[in-house]
Amino acid sequence: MIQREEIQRVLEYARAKGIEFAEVFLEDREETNIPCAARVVQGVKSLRIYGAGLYLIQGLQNVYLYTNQVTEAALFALVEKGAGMLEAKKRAVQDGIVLKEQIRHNPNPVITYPSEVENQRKIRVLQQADLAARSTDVSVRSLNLNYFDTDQRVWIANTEGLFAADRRVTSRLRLQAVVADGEDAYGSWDDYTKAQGFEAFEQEESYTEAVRDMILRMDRIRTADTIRPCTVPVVLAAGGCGTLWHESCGHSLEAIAIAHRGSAFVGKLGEKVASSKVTLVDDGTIPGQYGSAAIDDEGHPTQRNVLIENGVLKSYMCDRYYGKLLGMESTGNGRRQNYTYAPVPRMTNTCLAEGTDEEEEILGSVEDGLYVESIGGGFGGMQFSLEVKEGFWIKHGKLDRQVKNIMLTGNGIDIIKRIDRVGRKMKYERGGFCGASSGLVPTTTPQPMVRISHMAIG
Amino acid sequence: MKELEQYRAAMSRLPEGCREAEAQAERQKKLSVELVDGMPGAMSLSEQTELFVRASGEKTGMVYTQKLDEDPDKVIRQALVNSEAGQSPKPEPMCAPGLWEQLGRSQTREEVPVPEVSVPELKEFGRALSQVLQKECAQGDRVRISLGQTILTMGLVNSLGMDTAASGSRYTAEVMTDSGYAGYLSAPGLEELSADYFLEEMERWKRTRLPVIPSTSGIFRAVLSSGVVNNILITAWQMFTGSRALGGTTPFAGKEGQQIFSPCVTIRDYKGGRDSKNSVTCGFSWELDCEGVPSQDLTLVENGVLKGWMHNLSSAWQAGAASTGNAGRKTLLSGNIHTDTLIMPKNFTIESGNASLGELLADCGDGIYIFENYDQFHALNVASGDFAFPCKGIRICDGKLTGVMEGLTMNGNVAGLFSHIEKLGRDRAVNPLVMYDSYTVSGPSMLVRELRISG
Repeated sequence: MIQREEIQRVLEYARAKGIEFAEVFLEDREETNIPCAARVVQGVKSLRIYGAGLYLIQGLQNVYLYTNQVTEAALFALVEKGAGMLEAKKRAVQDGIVLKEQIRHNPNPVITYPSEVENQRKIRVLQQADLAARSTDVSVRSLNLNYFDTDQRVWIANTEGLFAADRRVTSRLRLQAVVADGEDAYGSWDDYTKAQGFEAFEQEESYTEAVRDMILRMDRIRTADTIRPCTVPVVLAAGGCGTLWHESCGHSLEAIAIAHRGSAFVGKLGEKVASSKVTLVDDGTIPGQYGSAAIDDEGHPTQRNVLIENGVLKSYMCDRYYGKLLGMESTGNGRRQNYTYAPVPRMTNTCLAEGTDEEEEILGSVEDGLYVESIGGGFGGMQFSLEVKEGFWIKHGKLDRQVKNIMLTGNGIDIIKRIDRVGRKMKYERGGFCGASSGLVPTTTPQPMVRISHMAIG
Repeated sequence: MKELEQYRAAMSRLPEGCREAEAQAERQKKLSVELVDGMPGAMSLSEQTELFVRASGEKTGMVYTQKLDEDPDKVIRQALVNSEAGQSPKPEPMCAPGLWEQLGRSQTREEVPVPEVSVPELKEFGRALSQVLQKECAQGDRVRISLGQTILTMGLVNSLGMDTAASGSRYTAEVMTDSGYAGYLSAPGLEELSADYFLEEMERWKRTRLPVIPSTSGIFRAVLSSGVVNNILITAWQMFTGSRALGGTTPFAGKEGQQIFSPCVTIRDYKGGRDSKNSVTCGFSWELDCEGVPSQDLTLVENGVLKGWMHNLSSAWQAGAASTGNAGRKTLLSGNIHTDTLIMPKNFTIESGNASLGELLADCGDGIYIFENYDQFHALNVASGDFAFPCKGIRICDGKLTGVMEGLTMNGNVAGLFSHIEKLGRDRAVNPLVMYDSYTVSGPSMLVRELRISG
């Protein structure tokens, strides 16, 4: 990889070209992917993602350039092109840039780096998972499994003298299956994700049980009842159902949505925007979580950001550029999938804080309503929608029967006012990916159990 | 392609035990400029080449790298080592020159340079477009335009004698206003990103800005806008892949030659480019797929009858058919880095009909006009065809638009929906798979006999 002195010269050159702010993002990532389709391991894939991004900000304009020719000469050429695009004017610069290394510890320490593990051990993980998935009574029509590990190293330097680095290691099993009984088929996918090295797979039962559980759950969904559309109280289970917050208001609290005036939260800082039961936090520092890192992808340390406190809007999630447009500092939320994307404000681990209600009371308070055990994914913005993956009809405060083919839709800023119960017990979840304008980034959405007083379901 | 020069030489000195090898390169050059009310904002410029290297002994292994200066012999050796871990009973198929000869096509080894737009040209075009569109917007309603050019060059060399390269270029414009309009257009040339298209679309969007009325549930006659149809197709195309047909994981498996949709439905996957028969040119074109197989215009459903499937080399071999040139990597659920050779459409299209949108609405009589739907990735189960799309609609009474109903869900099954089509519109918007920009879908607005709506 290019040396620190070379990066320094690139940044100095950018400043001499009249650029107000320049940042170099370097990435060298190694991945392993092993697919297993129809019981057959298809072979190992070794992946090397390697490149550099150059981010230039000039007033309200910015330009992002990237290349996988990582040499000083190639980066000088990018500066030249970028300065031209910004129509920057050369200026005399007195002092050089001194890059100061900032050391931050990653909240997800690694015991066994994937590169230290032989492929045969990784293949065994797949084989055991495949056996586990087929070990139930469920008729599995198709089953594809994928083993992934990722070891991403990033280095970020900018004209303010920042030089920061991070190493992010994750492990993942993906299961895609179709379960069927005659023509009645249901297909879905799920991930077993860990912000860990190969130690994620040291305990065989942990992932084989997860895989078995995925298949059993899919079959229960297949055989579930459908329901008529209606407006009822909705209880969301503790854990990954926190996707509600991610989609209903998380995306609308990202500074890019505020700057583009595409959010219902524009101009509402300090105002009551949600039920008093709601305290929403985005926290990229939580140990062991898929959305955690030492620094964001602009080199800013990750931090705990209180977005909504007791229903009052406290903050937006900012990166450098969109924060600047709003007159705010970065909150450590500048994220990107890799060097081919400019950073934008993105969520990390977005959590609803614990409340004061007992789970039994929350469920017992519903005469007729919907209990959501898990969410398949969703779509965010002012109008949001969530796929209810596992849902149960509540009758007289108890789970009556499993139901399917349900979407939760609504207007985020309305729904968060209708939260009338928040449980005491926080439940973390494995996490997944959020896709937006800077690509796919790992996130989690933990929450305690919540109740929405009423919501249209269909 | 220059990135394949060293690999071309390496193909003649494969390591011991390596029967076949292949290197495929994909280079993407992108330039984009964003303008807010004509003033430049965010810009980007990039060039990235990805190398996909496969080596087969008894089985096949792969290496993907973006580090272009890695020694090709070493990369091929690593791919061979990776192959040893696999359990496939045989190596993966690779494309041979004979496949091109059978189709009467000839390989082009040399890369044909593509004209590149300059930043000042893009900015100037954007300012002019902005001026026209701003006139249609209310005071204070900002117009944000994102303009760009993407040049994709794909090349492939292998030890079977394949040595080919092809490039394609497209221009795209995205227009958004603070008031909520969002439009997209792609074309082979910058000048084809016409302001008239956006003006017409904005006018149509304005007509949907009616007062909100209480939502009603039930089974309605319905008109689906072209954009709504595209949001279904962006996921539903998976129901027409050879791999799903073989695995029985599409509801249309085993129904070749049968009437699966209304007779007015014809579905094709167009290769794009000058010699493609697609009546809408959107700039997305491919001369070959990622396995080096020549692309073609393909009919999947004709007058409602299922004609065939999209295949890559592997699914074609299993089905005893020929590849249709539909191997692709950047498809749904293909992860962060796209190394699996999957099946992917190019320009997946439901052919237009003859009716104007006004005629469809008039013919609907009493019903609902669905003009927005969301969450295409979670709303449709491709194994069963069942869907539950969150959507917005306008109540139609006596053929007239009355009021907007929000928070709706349209429920049903793809087979049922497309069997209930009475008439197709002559409009046909084109939408790409936004996250990877790797294929497009395109369908006309349609009048359907019945659609279950929950509200």
